[in-house]
Amino acid sequence: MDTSKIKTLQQVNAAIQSVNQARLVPNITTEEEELLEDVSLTLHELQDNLILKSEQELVDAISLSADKLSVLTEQIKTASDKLDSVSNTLQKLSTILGALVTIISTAISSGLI
Amino acid sequence: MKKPIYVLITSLILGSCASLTKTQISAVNEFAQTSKKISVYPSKIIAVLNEIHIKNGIITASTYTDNIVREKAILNVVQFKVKNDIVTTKLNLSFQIIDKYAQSLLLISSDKHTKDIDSLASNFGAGIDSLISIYKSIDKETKIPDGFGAAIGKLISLSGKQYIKIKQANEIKKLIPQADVLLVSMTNNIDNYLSETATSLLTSYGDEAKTNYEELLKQNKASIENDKDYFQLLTNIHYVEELRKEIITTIKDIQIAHDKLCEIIGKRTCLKKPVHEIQVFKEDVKKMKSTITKLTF
Repeated sequence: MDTSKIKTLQQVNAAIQSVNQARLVPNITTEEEELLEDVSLTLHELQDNLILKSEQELVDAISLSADKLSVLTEQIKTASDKLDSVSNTLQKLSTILGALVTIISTAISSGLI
Repeated sequence: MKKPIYVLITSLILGSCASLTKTQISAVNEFAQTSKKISVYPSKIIAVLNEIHIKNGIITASTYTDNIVREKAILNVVQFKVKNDIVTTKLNLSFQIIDKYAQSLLLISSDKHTKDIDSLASNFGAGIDSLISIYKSIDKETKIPDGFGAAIGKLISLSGKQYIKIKQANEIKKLIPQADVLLVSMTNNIDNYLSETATSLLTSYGDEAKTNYEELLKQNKASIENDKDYFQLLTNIHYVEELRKEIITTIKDIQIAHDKLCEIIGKRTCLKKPVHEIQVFKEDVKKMKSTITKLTF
């Protein structure tokens, strides 16, 4: 359980860095910048939740962030080809978040936590 | 008042066949003295990591050009600051339990009988038991034995009374091996957190401090205050990383020193020199003490 949470946190941290790097690109448009800021905010919320929340509280918080990220990933794909690396990172993260939710939900329903 | 001669003779006879020698008791006392406030170091690292997280959060918010996102980011930082999280509670409890154990060991191995030792006995016993029961409610998989506090309370109340030195020594011999499970379990918690979560967070905070600063430069918003923040963040990240490694080493060495203590008290012997494993542990604590003074948060 803890291992899955740490792996997810590592992936979130990597995604934050990917977004930060993308924001540093000189010729980024205002629309791209705003999209990346939204993603950055959501990723930081996710990071806070992974640090602060217990497993029981995490399922709802992660699901909410995953939904937001999914919408933002689609917007990024439509808006710009320059941000492919960000959308790829987010898609990878989305899979990991789904897996974590499944693991926690199974553990809760089995009475393990 | 002079002690009757038969009391002195009995003390001498009992003292000579006590199951632990003075040097063995001194080794127990030295170990306890070194570990009595060990929780200061891991607690500090968590506090500084939280401060770095908060500082990074504020700087990240200042890089956002969208005011709504910027305000939301600040509100998230506030929420982070006020939230009392379960991970920290579990870790802090681990440290407090080790502190309590070391402090009780210090009392029972002391050659002075303090006036309030009996009230300390009940407080220590109840204190460590309630900490362990809170801990068990958080970590259901833990294998810490029950009734640990009662054993400590009994021991402290015996402490210092000359005529029951043998009984005291026998109780110490029972308690230390029993506490080994407790110590390993508690230190492993800290080790896991520092080896995995803290490492990942520190790397991320370092990377983010850099990209945030570069983002401010790109936006022509970097002021002397930003330069100072960047400097302070990088310096603290550096020393927290140093402290993190030192704590991990100390955790391993405290376990080795405690193992050695279990071995030493196994049979009555007169120790000819200081216990090497306890000296190594003492050096570790000195290093951590020095590093902690370099942290500015």
